[in-house]
Amino acid sequence: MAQRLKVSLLVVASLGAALPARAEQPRAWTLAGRHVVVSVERAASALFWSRRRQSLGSDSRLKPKGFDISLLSQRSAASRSSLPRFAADFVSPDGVSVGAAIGLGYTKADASATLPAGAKGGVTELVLAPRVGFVAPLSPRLALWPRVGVSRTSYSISSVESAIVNWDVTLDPQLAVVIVPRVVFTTGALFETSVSNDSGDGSSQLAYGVTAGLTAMF
Amino acid sequence: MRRLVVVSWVAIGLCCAAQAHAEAAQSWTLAGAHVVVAAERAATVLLWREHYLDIPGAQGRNKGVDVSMLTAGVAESSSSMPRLAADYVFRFGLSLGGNAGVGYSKDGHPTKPKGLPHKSAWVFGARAGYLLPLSPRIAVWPRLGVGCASHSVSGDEEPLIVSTETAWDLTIDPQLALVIAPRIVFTTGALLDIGFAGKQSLDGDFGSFAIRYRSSAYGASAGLAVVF
Repeated sequence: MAQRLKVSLLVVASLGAALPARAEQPRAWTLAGRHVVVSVERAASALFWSRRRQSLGSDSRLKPKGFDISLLSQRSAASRSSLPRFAADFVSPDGVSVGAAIGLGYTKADASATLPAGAKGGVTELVLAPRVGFVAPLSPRLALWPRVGVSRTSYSISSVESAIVNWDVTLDPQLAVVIVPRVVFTTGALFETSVSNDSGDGSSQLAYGVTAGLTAMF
Repeated sequence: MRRLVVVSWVAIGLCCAAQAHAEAAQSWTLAGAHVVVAAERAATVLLWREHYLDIPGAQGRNKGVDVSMLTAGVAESSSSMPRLAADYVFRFGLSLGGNAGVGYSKDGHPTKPKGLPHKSAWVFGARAGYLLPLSPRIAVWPRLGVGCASHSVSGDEEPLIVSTETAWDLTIDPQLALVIAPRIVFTTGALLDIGFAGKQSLDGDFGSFAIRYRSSAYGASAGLAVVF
């Protein structure tokens, strides 16, 4: 136990020495290296989307489609892919990133425009999206950050037992630009397609377009 | 003994981290002139109330609660909508700025080839405040402003009806600003939107009519700001 204590103190002491050293070199800060990244993602987006219901055959008139443009105000969005979200990623020294995005919305009202007719209770919308990626610095202030992940979006009404759950696969290669040390503007393409849903009608969604967000790196 | 080891780990780690942050923050503080860009109302807990002044009785009121962490797609109140904000903070602490958010969706609905159903929403606001640093890393930032929000939805069945709600409010949002890393600030505080004007209108083949509408909300909000 004493040996473990010694090792522990040694590790903590070296961490303590390393942290101030890193903090004293703001000018040497770059995208390369190990970081924890916290982002507001899809803060701005322009997305085309289409839905298909297998039960309605291949008639193109039965495929709703449209586009969403938003700057944070996704209240008008018709596609779940337009929802902004918080994200946190860990970037290893060799550039591999592992993280997830999350978004949460809940509302309850006496008379609701969100609830389907006849339904009562609150509405909860939850987005969970784990992903992996790779940060490839092109220069100290510029990097490519291709990412791939899955996205689970659930929509539930408290008075109804079942929830609608959709699973999507997401590809979003991003360009990361350091605008000041630790603050990164990200923008890039987004491609998201359904792989599973339990709405019962076999519908699927495809969304593609561009997004932008703001990232803090620690 | 094991507990002692764990406590030592945590205590020493915290000390080191605090020391590192303190050293990093020495070269950069909240005091002075800045431009602040923020994602505001990124997380909110709001109680809201709507009044339709030209409808008598209980039907002329509606109230509820919204909780959101960016995903306010289900939110009933415009006050819950996140927005992008920019403020200029003068050297003596006065801040002037505004915020905006916009969304538009066009939907080629298959059952309605002629009309294209759409939804749109926007918010904007202007405000003044005072940034009062309590320490190099903590500040109180009371703000007062005026905001306007609009939400428009058109139906997807004949006859085509467009419903639009527009609301003006006085916004009071005293915020606590915490520097979590140089130039990166977490803000959180109370929020009070007091509706003082607005209308809900219906437009269609039958013509159009409007009623007076007020929307108010109060609760707490949080956001993330970048200081340049």
